[in-house]
Amino acid sequence: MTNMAKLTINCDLKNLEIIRDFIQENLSEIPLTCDITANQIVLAVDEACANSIIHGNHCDARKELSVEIYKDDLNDLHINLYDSSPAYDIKSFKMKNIKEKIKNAENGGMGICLIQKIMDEIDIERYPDFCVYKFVKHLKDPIK
Amino acid sequence: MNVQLNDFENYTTVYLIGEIDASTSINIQNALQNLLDNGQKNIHINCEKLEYISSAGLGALMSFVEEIENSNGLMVFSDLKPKVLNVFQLLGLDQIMKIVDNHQQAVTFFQN
Repeated sequence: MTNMAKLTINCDLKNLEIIRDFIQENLSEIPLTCDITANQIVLAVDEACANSIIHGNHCDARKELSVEIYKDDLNDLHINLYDSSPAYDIKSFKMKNIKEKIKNAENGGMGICLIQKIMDEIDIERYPDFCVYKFVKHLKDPIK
Repeated sequence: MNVQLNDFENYTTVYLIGEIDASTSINIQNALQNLLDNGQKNIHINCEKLEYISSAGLGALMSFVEEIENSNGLMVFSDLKPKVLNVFQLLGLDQIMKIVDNHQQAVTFFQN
């Protein structure tokens, strides 16, 4: 998979499954990807999209999100998420201690924490009417 | 995503089936809340047929850990596929939640 593939969905949480299938299908064309690595990449994209749908677009199905995926010549996987809601700084977000979260029955922020752990590079480009979350994964062994 | 329950004398096995994401995590939340409301505080989560879990699903499970422990109950996970276990590991939940390899090992926690 070196050509760019792109998917646009409405901001409905039911479409997360479609996004996961889209990423999984494109990853299946990369022979180096093992089951755990593939699941991690799918998970990170799912988390980013869920975050945008819930917090950025308030589950307004009239709004859209687009996801594009491609691999470059350096064996880096690029995933870009186009979102018309204001950008959230997922790059510098820091999650509370997990034990504290359990004690307080809190569960927010874990998705961003997963994205940070899984992706090797995270950037956010801000434009007047939209933002682009840019993720890069160096294709190698899965993280533990 | 589907949740199936199997009640035993002093515990309930909850089978998580399919994929749990932000759209479907409410199913787990409702199932576990019903169990606690009915006085069941010993819960075995069988993940043999769980293909995927996101932070929303983990959050739904985590939200009951403290309540179960405070009532002297126990929540034990078993039969996680490597890719599902890896999600627990990424967040450090494998060090906090009780996770065993298989169904039989989980059951022994409730028989002792």
